[in-house]
Amino acid sequence: MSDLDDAAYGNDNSPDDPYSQEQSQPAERRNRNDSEEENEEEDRGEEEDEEQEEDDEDESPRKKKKRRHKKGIAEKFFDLAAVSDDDDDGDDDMDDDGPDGFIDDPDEGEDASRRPYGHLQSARKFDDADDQSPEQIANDLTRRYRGQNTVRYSGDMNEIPQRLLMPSVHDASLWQVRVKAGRERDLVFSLMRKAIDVEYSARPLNILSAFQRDSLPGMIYVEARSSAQVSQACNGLVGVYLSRGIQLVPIEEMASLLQIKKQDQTVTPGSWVRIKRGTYQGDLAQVVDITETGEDVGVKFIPRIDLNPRDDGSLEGPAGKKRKKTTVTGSGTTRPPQRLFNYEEVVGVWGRKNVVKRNQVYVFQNETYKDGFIEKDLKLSQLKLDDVNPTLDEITQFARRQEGDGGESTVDLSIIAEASRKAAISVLQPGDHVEVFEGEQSGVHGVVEEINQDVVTVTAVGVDFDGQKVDLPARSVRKRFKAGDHVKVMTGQNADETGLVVSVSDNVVTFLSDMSMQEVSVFSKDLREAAEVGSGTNIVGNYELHDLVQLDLQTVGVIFKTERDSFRVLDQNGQVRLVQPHQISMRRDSHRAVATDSEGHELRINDNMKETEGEARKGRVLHIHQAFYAFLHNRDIVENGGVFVTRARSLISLAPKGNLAKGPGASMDLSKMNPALVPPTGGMVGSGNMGRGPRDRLIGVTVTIVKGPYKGYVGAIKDTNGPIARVELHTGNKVVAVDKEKLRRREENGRLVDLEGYRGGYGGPRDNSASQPPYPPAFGTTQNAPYAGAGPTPAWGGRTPAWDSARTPAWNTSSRTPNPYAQGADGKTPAWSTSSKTPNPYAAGGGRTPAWNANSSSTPNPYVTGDSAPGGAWGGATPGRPTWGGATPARPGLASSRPETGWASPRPWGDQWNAPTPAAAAATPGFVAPTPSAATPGYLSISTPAGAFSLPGGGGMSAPTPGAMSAPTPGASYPSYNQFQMPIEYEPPEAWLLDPAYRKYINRIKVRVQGTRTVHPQYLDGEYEGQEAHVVAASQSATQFEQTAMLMFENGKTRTGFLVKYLLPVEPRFENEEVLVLDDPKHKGIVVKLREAPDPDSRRPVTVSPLKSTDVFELMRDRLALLRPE
Amino acid sequence: MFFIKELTHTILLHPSYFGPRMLSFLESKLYSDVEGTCSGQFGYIIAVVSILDIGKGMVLSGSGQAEFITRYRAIVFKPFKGEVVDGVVNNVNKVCHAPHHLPAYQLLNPATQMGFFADVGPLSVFVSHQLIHPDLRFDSNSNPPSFASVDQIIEKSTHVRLKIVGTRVDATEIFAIGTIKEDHLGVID
Repeated sequence: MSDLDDAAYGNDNSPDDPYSQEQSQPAERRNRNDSEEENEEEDRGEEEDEEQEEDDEDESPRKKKKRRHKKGIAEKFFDLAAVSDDDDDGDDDMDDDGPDGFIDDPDEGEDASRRPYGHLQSARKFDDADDQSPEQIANDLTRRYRGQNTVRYSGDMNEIPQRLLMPSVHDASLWQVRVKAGRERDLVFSLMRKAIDVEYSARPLNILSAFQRDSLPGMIYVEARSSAQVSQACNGLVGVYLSRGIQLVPIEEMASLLQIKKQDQTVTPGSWVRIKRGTYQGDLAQVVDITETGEDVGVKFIPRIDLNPRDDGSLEGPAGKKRKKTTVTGSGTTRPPQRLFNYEEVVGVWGRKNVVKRNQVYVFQNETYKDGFIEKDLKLSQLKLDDVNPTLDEITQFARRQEGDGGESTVDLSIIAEASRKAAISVLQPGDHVEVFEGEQSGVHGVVEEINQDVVTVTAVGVDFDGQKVDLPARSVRKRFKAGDHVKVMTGQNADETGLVVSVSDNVVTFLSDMSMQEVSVFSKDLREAAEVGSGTNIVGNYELHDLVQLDLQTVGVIFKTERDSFRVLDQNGQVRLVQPHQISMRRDSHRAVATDSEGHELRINDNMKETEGEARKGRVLHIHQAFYAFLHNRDIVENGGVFVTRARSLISLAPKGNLAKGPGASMDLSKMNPALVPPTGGMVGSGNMGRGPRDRLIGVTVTIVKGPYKGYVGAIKDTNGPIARVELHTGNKVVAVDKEKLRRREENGRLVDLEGYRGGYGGPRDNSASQPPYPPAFGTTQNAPYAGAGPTPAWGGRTPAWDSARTPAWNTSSRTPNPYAQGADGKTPAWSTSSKTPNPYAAGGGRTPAWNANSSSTPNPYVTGDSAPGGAWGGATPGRPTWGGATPARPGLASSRPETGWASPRPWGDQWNAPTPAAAAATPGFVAPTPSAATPGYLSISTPAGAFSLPGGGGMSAPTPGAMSAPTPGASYPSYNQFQMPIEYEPPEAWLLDPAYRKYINRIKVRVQGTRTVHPQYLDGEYEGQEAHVVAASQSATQFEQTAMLMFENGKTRTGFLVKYLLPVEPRFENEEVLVLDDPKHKGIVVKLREAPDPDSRRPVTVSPLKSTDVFELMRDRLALLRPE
Repeated sequence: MFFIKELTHTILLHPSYFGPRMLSFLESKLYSDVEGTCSGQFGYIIAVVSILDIGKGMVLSGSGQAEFITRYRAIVFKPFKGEVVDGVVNNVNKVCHAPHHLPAYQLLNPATQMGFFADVGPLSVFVSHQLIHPDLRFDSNSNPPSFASVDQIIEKSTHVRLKIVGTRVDATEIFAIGTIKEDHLGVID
């Protein structure tokens, strides 16, 4: 804080002046102190007093009030003219010595008397005093100070209670001014100079003080009565942002602004600190000694000596030294690794001249090295004292060295503990097992009950104390673990690691990691008991332990250790690298990679192999890279987490392979080795014949850009990457990246065709889909071979023999697969996926086929756009589908059991049931269209136990229900299918019965038991299956319990605790039955009466009307629950 | 500890097996599916003692496979904390960079795992050197690696009696650590 008042005082008063004592006190206090000051003055001798008075006059505008008050009295004593004269001189004086440190120059006080005028003045004053009699003087003084408090100045300002010194509304306010960051201090000084400058001018500054806090960058604080005064004062100063406003500091915050935080951080020798800046930034250092002032701290730390200095720096000679220095700083950009000082090493690199040995220490580049460490005096401000958190690793580095010296054999654990103790308090949680390791209760252990700042309440466990609650200081307890506990590391570099505790010594817990089977030692404070097995440690980002990752174009590696945010990777050259997830370009899958071992046999992932040369290590093959390198893993090998890399050619199998027996000729399946024979599967990353097919087929195609800035340009695709294609324009010889959607394939005759249509294209013919009119008719008519696989395919394939050979047989076999169920569970049967690729060409051509058009135009879910392959696939299947309706009578058996698996590969239905009813197919185009949607994968995901084929709703279309399926006449069901707007079939939720909306009528609801026999074991032996009952009572129980209801069956028996999930509402059957509306936006939960008998076979809504009302509306039958008549 | 436990297993049978020898196939499938597996809840299923009910096959719509929910009785082995078991040493970890007298926190190098793995039936138990009596010192010169005292030696395929001090139970695996640092534990002849 710098205070203008103080500055002024300092200028004229000697250091023992009372004012100087007060310099450190806040200026706001001044008003109150004034009276005391004056009493003090009175206390002194007269002469002194007069001088004082004069000084007061000199220094002028301290307090306006006071000044006014003083003037009134003082005028009697002084010749005004003389005073003003003096003022001017004083002003000049200030000008002269303003800039050089006027605060702390003790000579300044004497300055006044040295001034010529000053002498004159004081001489005159003495004369005046002489003229008066002592009585008169005494009288004058009494008169002057009459009416003022006569509290004596106690001599020690600190005695005044702090709260009395707090500012009030009557004091000047504090204003916050925004300034340029970094210039705060300068600006305060400028303000002070300015204040002194203009002090005696016509417009003196009316601010009282100004200060800045280092902790608050970018702002200074000015004490003044009004903001106008502040802005006047700051006006013209460079770096003050007056435009950003001058803010008033609330009174209650004023004091805290001036509070100086007590520095309670004490450094003791042996404690750990971190270095804040420079080459050693962040490095751990140990305090060796402390100077008395406490400013300088002698620390030692592990040096980072550059052992590969640049050549120009190693020049020796007279000029060498200077140059070397620049090298040292220059190489600071990449800082050398931590390494203990080794005389021979350093001499070897830097030359003998550079290292000087004095006694036990070496001096090198002006640094002192002792015992391998660098010892240096650093300023306290260069060290970070809190949050040091030395890791065990770092400390061991110190310790190891000391060990080697045979010095202190162990690190003082208490120091580490001390360093981490503060943190330890914060990691305690209620429920933790702790033990007391120091103090009276030492040895007691218990469970933490509560934590109140530094005091933990512990319920002791043990013989004497059992159950007692003890309050303990948090720092004297530590978490307690015992061997066998399953723990998890919460913080530190091993964070998230879990393991079983092997041993506990003091506060270091050693555990065996679950993942790496390595022993890990951590502080107990970092541990928690954990039930789960840590998986986090092995997965960072998208990568996992033992993944094969691509590091750069040439390098791949296997992750053998995961750390908090990084991996250790063993690359194919055997180098270990520490990489961050972002340095990994991709993960590679080598599951299908094959290599040959030393005997020419096939070598695959997970084979157990052994090296034939070198160390003859055994291991399991983790990955194979480029059929040359093999990464193996063996838990018994400790280096690199058991992962090692070797040449595949140097491996030999541990277990003889079965195919060895077949003789040498059969040892290798050539067809597998020949990429040309392998059907391109695509996406087979990592294997030699990686997906060359589909991805690159667009390359070389001539396209026209139809959208964007290049619209109309023609070019050839050079490369594709996902949705982007790089197109080399024919004109301008320019390659541009264009969205594939904006490209159209340009045919020889100039027609533009959809590019993507060919992408998964079956036959790959480029130009004939549009010019092949025969297809659409074939399409419509081929009922029993919907894909027309045998017919058209050769024709297509004729154009592209490669494709033909690769695909067609596969296609045929899959479409004929007699038992697709075997693979059908996930809907991704090969048959399925190949078929999904087929029809796209059709889709492209579809727009030109009238028959197809009719279909697609009537389809709300437009397969005609056909972008997605499955959609198109279904288009292709459609003609086969109408048989569905015809075959319906055969369906119910299937439909009533699990539909979700049943539909996984629905295509074969078309094959099997192609008892074609052309009429049906023709007459129900609407039906034809929705069917594929029922078979879309989205549908498969729905598991509706009741077998209702409700659609996700997108198509707004109701799929056939089992009930509808069982319709005796297929024709009857068609009309209902055509109602596209029909609501989705309602299926009551599992606990529908307990819906609060039905509560009023709960004891009237009739229910039917269903589903008890399809579970295993059968619920109540399936005894009640199909029976009807009415609910006697049911109420919601807690969510984790099964919901039950009390039922009365029709035979009069009651049954309590019946599981609600087996109950279904009974649908009404007759006119005038009272029913409860289960689900309806408007009418849910009300009782209505049926106005017509519902048709059990149709999904037509029934007409109902509420009781005692004439309203009539329609509701779906399945949303109604029959009620027992009252 | 070993228990006899009633368990169920679901077998999905492909339609091609539907036929006269279906039951025997189901049985053999049950044995092959179940024996030697481990569930965290019940432990290792050592052997099927008897089949209580092979279940009624329910043909699943769509796939055509039959689902048999088979009840059987099996011997299960579940290790417990504090249990004393006998095992065979499988592997003595041979790495030893850190001298024994160093406190635990100096064993930071990941390569300082020491101890041995013992097989207790299907269960693998790790005995850390810290849970081995200090008299048994790691003999770095021996081949195969071993822990040895004046009268005892622990190396691969030594029979040891150990006490389980902690288990980690996953869904499909159980792992335990053990100690031989107590009376009556250690090498058994």
